[in-house]
Amino acid sequence: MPAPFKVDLKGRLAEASSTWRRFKRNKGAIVGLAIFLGVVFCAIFADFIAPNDPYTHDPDNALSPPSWKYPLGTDEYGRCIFSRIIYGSRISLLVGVVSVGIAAVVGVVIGLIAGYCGGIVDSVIMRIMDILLAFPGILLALLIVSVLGRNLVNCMVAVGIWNIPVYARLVRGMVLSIKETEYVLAAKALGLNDLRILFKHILPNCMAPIIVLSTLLMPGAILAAAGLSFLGLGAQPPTPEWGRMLSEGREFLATAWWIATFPGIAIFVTVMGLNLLGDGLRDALDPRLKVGRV
Amino acid sequence: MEELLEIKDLRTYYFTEDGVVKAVDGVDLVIRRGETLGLVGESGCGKSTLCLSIMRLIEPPGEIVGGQILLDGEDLLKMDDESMRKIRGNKISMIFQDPSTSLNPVFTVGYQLMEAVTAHLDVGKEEAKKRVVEVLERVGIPDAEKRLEGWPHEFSAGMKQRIMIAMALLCEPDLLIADEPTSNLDVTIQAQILELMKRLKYEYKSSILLVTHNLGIVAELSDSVAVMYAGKIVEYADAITIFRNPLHPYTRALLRSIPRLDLEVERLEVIPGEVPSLINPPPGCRFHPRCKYAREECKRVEPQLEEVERGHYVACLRVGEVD
Repeated sequence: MPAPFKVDLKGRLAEASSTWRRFKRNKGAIVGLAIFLGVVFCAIFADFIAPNDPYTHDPDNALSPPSWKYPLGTDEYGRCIFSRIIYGSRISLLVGVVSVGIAAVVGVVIGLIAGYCGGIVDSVIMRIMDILLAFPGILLALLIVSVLGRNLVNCMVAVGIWNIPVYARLVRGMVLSIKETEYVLAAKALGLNDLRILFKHILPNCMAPIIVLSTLLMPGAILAAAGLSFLGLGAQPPTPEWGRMLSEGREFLATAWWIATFPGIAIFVTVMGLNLLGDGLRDALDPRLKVGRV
Repeated sequence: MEELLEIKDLRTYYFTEDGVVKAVDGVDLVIRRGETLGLVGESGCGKSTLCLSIMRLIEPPGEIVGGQILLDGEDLLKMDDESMRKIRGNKISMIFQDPSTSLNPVFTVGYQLMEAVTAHLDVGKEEAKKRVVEVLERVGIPDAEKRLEGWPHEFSAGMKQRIMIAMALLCEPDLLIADEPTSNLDVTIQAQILELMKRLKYEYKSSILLVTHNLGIVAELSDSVAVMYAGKIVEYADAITIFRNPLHPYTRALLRSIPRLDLEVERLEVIPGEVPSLINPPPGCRFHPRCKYAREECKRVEPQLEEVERGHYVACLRVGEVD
C-alpha cells in the first residue's frame, strides 16, 4: 500500500477556514456549538463541577427544593439533582456517540457493499434495510432490548441498530452515483482491486454527508436512549441517567416538581443544541447538501 | 512487426429493457507491437465499448458474449479476475475522454500517481516517487516534484490530461488505449497533447489504440486505421492507404465530410441519415440505408471483411465497382 504524501496542511487549513466562516454566519449553529461544548465540558469535568456526590443519599434533605447546598433540589433519597444531571451528561454523550458510531460503522459498510455489488446482493440487503426502517424505531429498540436484556450497553446497541438503515441508504445512494464516475473507472483501469477502490476511492467521497448525518442523528439517539431509560429499559438505577431521572421524578410532579423538570430541561437543551449544531454543520460543509432528517 | 493484441470475432452486447444492443458485433482487429492503430467512427458506433471490452471493464447490463482477445497469444477473456487486474494499468493502460473527471478529487495528484506504481510494482515509496517525478517531467509538467502535492482542481484540463497520460505510462504498458484523449480539450491544448503523444510514441515504443472520431488526429498519429460502423469494422488498412485510397463508401464519405483548406467547396458533404439503432440493425450491410451505392443485394447479404489489396481489408459487396 502506498503511503500518502504528507498532508497538504495549508490547503486543508484554507478549506477549514472557509467552512468555519460559513458556520460562523449561522447564529443558531453558534448557539448549538456553545451548548454542545458546554455539555462536553460538564461531562469531562463533572468531578469538579458537581457540588455533591451523585450517589450519596441524604435522607434528612430528601425532596428538598433548590437551595444553596442543592442548587436544583434533591430527589426522594436526598441525592443532589444538579450533580446527577452533571454526571448524566457523560452517559448521554456516551450513548449518543456509541450508538451513532455503531450505526455508522455497520451502516456504511452495508451501504458500500450494496451499492458497489449491485444486483441481487443490493436487492437483498436493501429489502432487509427496508424492513428495519418499516418498524417504528422505538418498537424495534424495545424488541432488541427485551431480547438482549435491559442495560445501558444493550440500549446503545438497540438505538444503533435502529439507525443502521439510515446510513445504509445514504451511502448506497452515494456509491451508486460515485461508482459511475470516470475516476472510479480510471482506478479500475489502473488495476486497483475492488476493496481498495471501494474504501480508498469511493468512501472518502461519501464522508461529508456521513459526518452531517451523524451530527443530525446524534440528538435523536440521545432522545431515544433517554426514552428507553424512562421506560426502564436502558440505564438501571442508581445510574444518573436523564431519562431515568425523569421517570423517577414523575411520581413527585405535584409535590417536588424539580426532580423531573430539570433532567427534562437538560435533555431538551442538549438535543436542541445538537440539532442546531448538525444543521449548521450541514450548511457549512456543503451548502448544496440537504440531507433530510429521519 | 510482431502481433501484440489480436481480437477475434469479439461480441459485446448490452442487455437492456428495450432489447439487446449489439454494440460490438463480431470485430476482428490486430495491433502490432509498437504500432499505433487509429480506430475511427461516429459516436455510438461501439468504439468505447470495444476499448472497455479489451480492459474487461464492461459493466452490467453489458456483457462480452463471445470472441477472443489475445494479448501475446493469451486470451484475456479466459483469465481469472486477479490475473486480469494485474494486466490493467500494467500491460494495458487506458486514458479517458474527460481528464477533468478522471482524477479523484479527494486525493492529491501525487498520491494517485504513486498508487498507480505501487499497484503493480514492488517498489518502495522513494523509488515510486522518483519514477512518478521522472514520468511527469517527460509529459511536460514543470516543477513536477512540487506539484505532486497539488489537488486535481488546481490543474487545468490540459495539465490533467498530461497527468492521466503519465499515470498510464508509469508501468510502461505494452498497449495504451486512448479513448478520445483530446475531444474534451480546446483546440490549442489538443494540439499540445497530440504533440506529446507523438513524442511519447517514439520514446516508449508502446502500441497505442487511438480511438477518435476526428480523422485529423488519426492522420497525425496512426500507422494503421480501422474504421468502425455500427458495431463492425468496415475497413482496415495502413494510414496512408486509408487516406489515399479509401474503398468503403463510409470511409469515403467520412473523408469528404472533413473541411479542407486546399479545396474550394461551398458546402461540406454530409452523410445522410444517422447511425442505425444497434438493437435492430439494418439487415445485410449495415450501411446500406445511408449508402449512395447500395443495391438490392446490399439489403440482404452481410459483407465480410476481406483483403482486397495486400493489408487492405474492406467489408463491402460493391468494392471495386465503386469509383
